[in-house]
Amino acid sequence: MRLELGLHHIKDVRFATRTEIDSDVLSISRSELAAHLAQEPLFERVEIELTHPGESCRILRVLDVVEPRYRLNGFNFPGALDPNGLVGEGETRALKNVAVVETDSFATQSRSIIDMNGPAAAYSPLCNTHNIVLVAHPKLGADKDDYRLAMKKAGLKTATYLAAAAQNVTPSKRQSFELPPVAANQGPKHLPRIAYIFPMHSHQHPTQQSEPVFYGSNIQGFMPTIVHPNEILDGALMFSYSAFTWFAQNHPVIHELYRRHGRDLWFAGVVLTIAPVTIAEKERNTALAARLAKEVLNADGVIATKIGGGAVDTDLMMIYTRAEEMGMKATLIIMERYPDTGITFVPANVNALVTPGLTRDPITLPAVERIIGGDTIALDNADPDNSNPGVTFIPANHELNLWIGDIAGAISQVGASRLTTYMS
Amino acid sequence: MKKIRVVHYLNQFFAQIGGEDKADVCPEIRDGIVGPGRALQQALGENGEVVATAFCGDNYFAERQEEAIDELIRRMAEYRPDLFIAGPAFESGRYGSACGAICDAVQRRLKIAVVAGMDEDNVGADIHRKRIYIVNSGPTIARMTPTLQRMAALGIKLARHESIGKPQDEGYLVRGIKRNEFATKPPAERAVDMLLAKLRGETFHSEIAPPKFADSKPAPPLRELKSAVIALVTDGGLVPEGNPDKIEPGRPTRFTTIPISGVTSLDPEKYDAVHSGYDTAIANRDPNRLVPLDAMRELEREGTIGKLHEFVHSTGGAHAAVENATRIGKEIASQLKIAGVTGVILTST
Repeated sequence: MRLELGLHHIKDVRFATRTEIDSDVLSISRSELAAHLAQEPLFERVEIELTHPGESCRILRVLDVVEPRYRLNGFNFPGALDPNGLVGEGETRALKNVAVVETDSFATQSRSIIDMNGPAAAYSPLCNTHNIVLVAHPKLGADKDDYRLAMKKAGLKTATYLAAAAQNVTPSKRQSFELPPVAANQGPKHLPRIAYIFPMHSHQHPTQQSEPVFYGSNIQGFMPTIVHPNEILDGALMFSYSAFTWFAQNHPVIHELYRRHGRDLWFAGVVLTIAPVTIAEKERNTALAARLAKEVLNADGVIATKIGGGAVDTDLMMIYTRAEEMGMKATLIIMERYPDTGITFVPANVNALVTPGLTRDPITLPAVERIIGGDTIALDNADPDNSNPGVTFIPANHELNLWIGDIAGAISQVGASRLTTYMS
Repeated sequence: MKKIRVVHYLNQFFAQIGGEDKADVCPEIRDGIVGPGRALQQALGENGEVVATAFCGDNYFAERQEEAIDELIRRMAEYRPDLFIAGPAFESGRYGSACGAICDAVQRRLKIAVVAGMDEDNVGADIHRKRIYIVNSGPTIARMTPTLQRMAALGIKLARHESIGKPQDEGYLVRGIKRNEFATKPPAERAVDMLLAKLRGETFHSEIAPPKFADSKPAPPLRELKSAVIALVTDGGLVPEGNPDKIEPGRPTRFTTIPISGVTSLDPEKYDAVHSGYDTAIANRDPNRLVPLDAMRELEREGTIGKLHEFVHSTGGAHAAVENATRIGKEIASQLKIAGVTGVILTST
């Protein structure tokens, strides 16, 4: 199966009377897009803002980020936006250097931000894209969970609407992703076969009943299964929390395995799974995931990543342990949260961990001229004795003392960051 | 650039008052340098000036620590220091502990930069290395000058709020605090590199060390349930309505003690769950499913157990720092032990 991404390296984005791409400049009809999004009955009003890399601007309450994509011959984000269908094959247009940023008006305590200038830009790719920001004001009485899903749908709608402008334009570069069916996916003997085991969600925070995560499914009770890596790159997956969809579309592990496929490894395939809640389910799912990698994909080695909080560390350690028991070698990517806590659930046999960074590492971000998506930001009460846990709201355009992990996209649990850590 | 004002701390020996016989001299402070202060001043050069030297007898400090710290801080505040340098104490345990304790207090109360010096095996290093910067002096006085040079260099950086490098570059003892740094390759690429090295049987280095836990021996089983006093303890964040003890939903530093005498079931109107690591909706709907008080009362009524302890101890266990979790555990255990509890049911989430 072959996916061809037609990449449009966008140099500038501006509002104009019609939406089009000309000479790598994306023009957006703000009114047409707004009318398109205003169809959502939960929204009172939708504002569409535009901000560029280098601008003194801060985006607040970031909910999700999507790269504009348009599939030339098929459904877009099936199950979440378009009716059901399959993705990962054929030609898809991608607007590079551009991102659609959804904000969540209800999330007043969210510290997820994007700064378009200053030190944050060194950490996150999302601070370096031209960002089309959606701010939707909910109708009175709108449920916050329903609103959140509507907002995510609006993000997918916008991403598709923008990239559709590329359908008759020649892309600046083409990138193809191709793996044959499992039975035919035989590499040379000397290359190790590597599989990727991907728990895409942790149900410690359950999905909503109508929440589309994978092909429209809320993935409750999801069992480990083999998927083609192209499906993840091409819009089958929209993260629920703890990760941005942009990183599924530009999945760093899948990209890396493709990049080295046939060179120093053979990409054996992807096992998609979830982190369930009970121990019995965790035992079952992790063992099954490892078995699929071993017995179906015939892997010599596996990489696993996680999405979610500390609870998923147990799933990762189980995947690692089962994989090694079955005779494979394993490596995990596991984010660190607190400078003094460490990763608690590390059995003695686990010796190959890679960190994409520490979220609770302080950073000072300068005051900005413009803010989008809210007026205030909730900071933890600065109190060394923790005698008054809670938050204080301060004006969001001020200088802020935040954590690296508050910068959207600075550390992605699926293995994207510019960081590692050391013990000081 | 403004000259950094430095106060230097010494014990009675290095302050040239006397040896063991003078170990009980009271806290004192003098203008300018004393003894090793000369080498410190040299190391500071034009960047700073040792404006005063504080000292105290090792025994006095050990026996009357709070008093000594109050007095020293009160006196040194008059000098308006920007930086406090203590020691080096080499392998002297009492001196090292004093250097650590006074640095910790000065940092908290005067909110200025502090650096202590001592050997890495000094008992003071173990106690204080997580909260303050300690330069490794080695065990003997032979390394006085190079140690003071390191302490001065680190102190100047701290006083000027410059970024501090790695332990091996700056010469301080590893504090056990993780920091980020920029990497040359992204994590996904490093993970593939590590996996391939592992498959080829080459050496590789895990980027996260496994945690070190103290071994604890499980208690022997209860011989007789009918006479047992059973306590309920949870890290699932059960609190009385309104969370009067303000236990934290994550990163706990304390626990709450909930009286349950005469309570037969946990009424959702009167109890809440606060915890950042799981969806608390079910626990809030029926707190008995977080802490099985209703079931335990039944066992108590049937006589299966002797008695249910009259308090539930609760904390919010998400992302606990190991040292806080250890302390909370010890405090709860000691209260239960004193109260005559013979068995504990721990419910987690």
